[in-house]
Amino acid sequence: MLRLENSTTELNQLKALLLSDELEQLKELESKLKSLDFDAQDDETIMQRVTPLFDTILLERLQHKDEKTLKTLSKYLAQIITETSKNDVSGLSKSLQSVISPAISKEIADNKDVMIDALYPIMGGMISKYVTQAIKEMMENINAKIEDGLSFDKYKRKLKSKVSGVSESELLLEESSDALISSLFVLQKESGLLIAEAHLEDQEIDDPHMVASMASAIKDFINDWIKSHKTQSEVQMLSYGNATLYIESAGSVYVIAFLDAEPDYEQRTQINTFFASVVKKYADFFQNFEGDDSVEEVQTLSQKMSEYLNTQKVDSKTEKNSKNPVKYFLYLMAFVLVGYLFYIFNAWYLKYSVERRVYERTGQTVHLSDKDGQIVVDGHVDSMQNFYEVEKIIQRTAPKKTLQNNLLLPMSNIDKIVTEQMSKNTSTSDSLENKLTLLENSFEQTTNNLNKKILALKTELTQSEDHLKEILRDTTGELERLKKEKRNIKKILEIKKEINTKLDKTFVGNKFYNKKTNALDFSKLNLFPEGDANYDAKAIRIVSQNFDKYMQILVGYKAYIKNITIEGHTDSSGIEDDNLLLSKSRALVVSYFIKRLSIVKQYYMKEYIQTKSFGSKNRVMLNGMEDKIASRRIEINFELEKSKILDKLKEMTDD
Amino acid sequence: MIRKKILLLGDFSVGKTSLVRRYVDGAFDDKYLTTIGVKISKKLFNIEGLESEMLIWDIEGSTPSKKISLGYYKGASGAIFVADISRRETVENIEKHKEIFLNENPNAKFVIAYNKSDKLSEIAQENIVLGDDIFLTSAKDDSNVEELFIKLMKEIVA
Repeated sequence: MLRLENSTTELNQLKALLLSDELEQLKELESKLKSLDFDAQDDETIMQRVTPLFDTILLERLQHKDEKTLKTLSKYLAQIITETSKNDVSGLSKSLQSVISPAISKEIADNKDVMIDALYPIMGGMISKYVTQAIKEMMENINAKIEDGLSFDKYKRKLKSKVSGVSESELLLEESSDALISSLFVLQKESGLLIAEAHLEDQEIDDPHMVASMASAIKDFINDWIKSHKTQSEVQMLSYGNATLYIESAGSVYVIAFLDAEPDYEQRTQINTFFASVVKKYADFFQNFEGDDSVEEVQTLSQKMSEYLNTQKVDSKTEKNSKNPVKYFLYLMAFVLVGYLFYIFNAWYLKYSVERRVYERTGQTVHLSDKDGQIVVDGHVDSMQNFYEVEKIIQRTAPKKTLQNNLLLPMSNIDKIVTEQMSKNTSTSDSLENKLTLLENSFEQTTNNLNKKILALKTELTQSEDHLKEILRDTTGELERLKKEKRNIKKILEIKKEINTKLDKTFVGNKFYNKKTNALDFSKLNLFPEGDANYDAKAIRIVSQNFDKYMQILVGYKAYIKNITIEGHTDSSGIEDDNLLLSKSRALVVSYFIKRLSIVKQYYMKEYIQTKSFGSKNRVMLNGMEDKIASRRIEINFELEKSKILDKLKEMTDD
Repeated sequence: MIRKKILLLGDFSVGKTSLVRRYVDGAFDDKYLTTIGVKISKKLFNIEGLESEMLIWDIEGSTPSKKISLGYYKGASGAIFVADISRRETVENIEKHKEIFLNENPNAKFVIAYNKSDKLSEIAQENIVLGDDIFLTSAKDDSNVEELFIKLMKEIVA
């Protein structure tokens, strides 16, 4: 019993240790339960009192993500949201916003790609819609501008729209900016070879020749595709991103422009005009182009295209400036103002400087004024000298202006002036006489000089004539030498021809004689078995008979013979190195045999006979197949010594 | 410098692309071959002091379902016809390729490459009849590839 009591105490102690929180909650609930006193209260009061308790428990379970609670709630969540949305949309939105916004932000940060993929179809459509709307609004604005504008450009645009059939809005858009041509290429249409190229500075491309060929291939590929769809047109524009290739086909070439955007109608017309000028000028060259880019035409064409590209830059700058009329007007006004001020200042300075200079030189005070573009001078001078001095000063300062001289001079000076003038005329006459004498002397001296020069020229002419005669003599000598050489060559050819004619006559109908090479050809004899240099006894007799006949002719020309060659050949079986050895053996065997023939000994021809081996290099082919028996053969031919013939001829000439 | 357009022609899988891949000085990506049926490479030559460049159009082998543009054949100065020596039909088809090519370019020069010679034994190689313009090549062993191209270029610039 005591033990039981002890164990109960221990159990309570253990409960107190492990379930301290729960016991505390239990006590709290007990006290609350006591205070409820359900029997004395109606259902509504009980509910009002119990509900906060359930709320607390539910909130606590949700905060701790209790699985059972969440599972139970999820069944009803959709229904609750639907119901709430019917009754209190704004309240629901407000509640959900605080939860959904951070959740979306976190999801985007964690899984960006997945979110983009999910949103793209919606966003793409949305963006497209807004962009379309924006363009529509822009076009409406442009249309409004067209209607409101009163400028000359408006009427020009209207006229252009009527002629070209392009709407005014599009033309206005086109006017906004031109695409920049960064490179120009001229390609030969058939081969795709690059004829010429030009680029803007820093816009050069690597391997332009390969790029040009590839562009040509792509164009061919697309053209084929177009034709397969029964369309007659050709591809003229290829775009990728911001890069555009504008291709114009003209005669035997394609001219290609690389642009940073698609060219508009006007720019295409400009490019085509330039292309046409190029094609017109170089049409013949293009047709005969054979891949050589070092020729002058390529250089000049590249230069022309570069100039066009650079002009384009200048045009674009000029165009930009011209598109600001206010700026342009202000520049004009400033220019006019500066010009006017300069004119006023210049007139004042002229008047001031002349009056000052006159005073300094003559001590007289005069007054200058401007009347109908003329300079009018008023005032008094005391002498005729000063009268002219004033005129001189004015004419020197303003030489292009007409002068009206209103200066007054005292009458007492007039007689003096007349006397001065007369003495002046006398001195002028003397001076003219002196000048005439000088001229006469000068003329005489010039005549003498001319005579000397004529003499020198005559001497030079005589020398040149002598020199020419000398050249003529040399040329005649050279001509004679050449004629002599020609005669010698002709003689050599005649000897060769003579020998060949005799050989042809001797061997007429002989199957072992090759009329084309004038050689003995034993390809039809089967002289050697396969892979062997031991000749057939019967066959070698045929060789010796024919060789004897051959030599009968050649010995008559021994003086001109350089050598007689025995050529050894094999078929293509086996390894070529072995074949070379075999052919050498065959040639040596035959050489050994024929050197023992009496005709060779009789005419001392032994040292003329030599051997050559060819292996299977010159094997005999018959209808595309090798004739192996014929390939295993011996050929005998001869060679003339030109120097020997010439020596002989010399001897004959000397004689 | 003189530049010439050269075609590389032959059946599928005879080794045309491999033949040039190790030999050329610059080339576009292989993807063009499958996309538009041609891939362009280049090779520089200096033959007896004369600088020249070959623009090599590696043309995809045609099949009944995929015809190759005849535009690619136009304006070529020469061609290399390639066959796989271990596949008899590819050797026989060279005549067809020659006919199409020479029909477009009657005055052009050509050479023939019996490729993949590394697949044959030495004896078998010796039994193949070759000519001045026929070469036994191997892209794998780099055998006779240079000789093939130089022979063609010499013929063209001669």
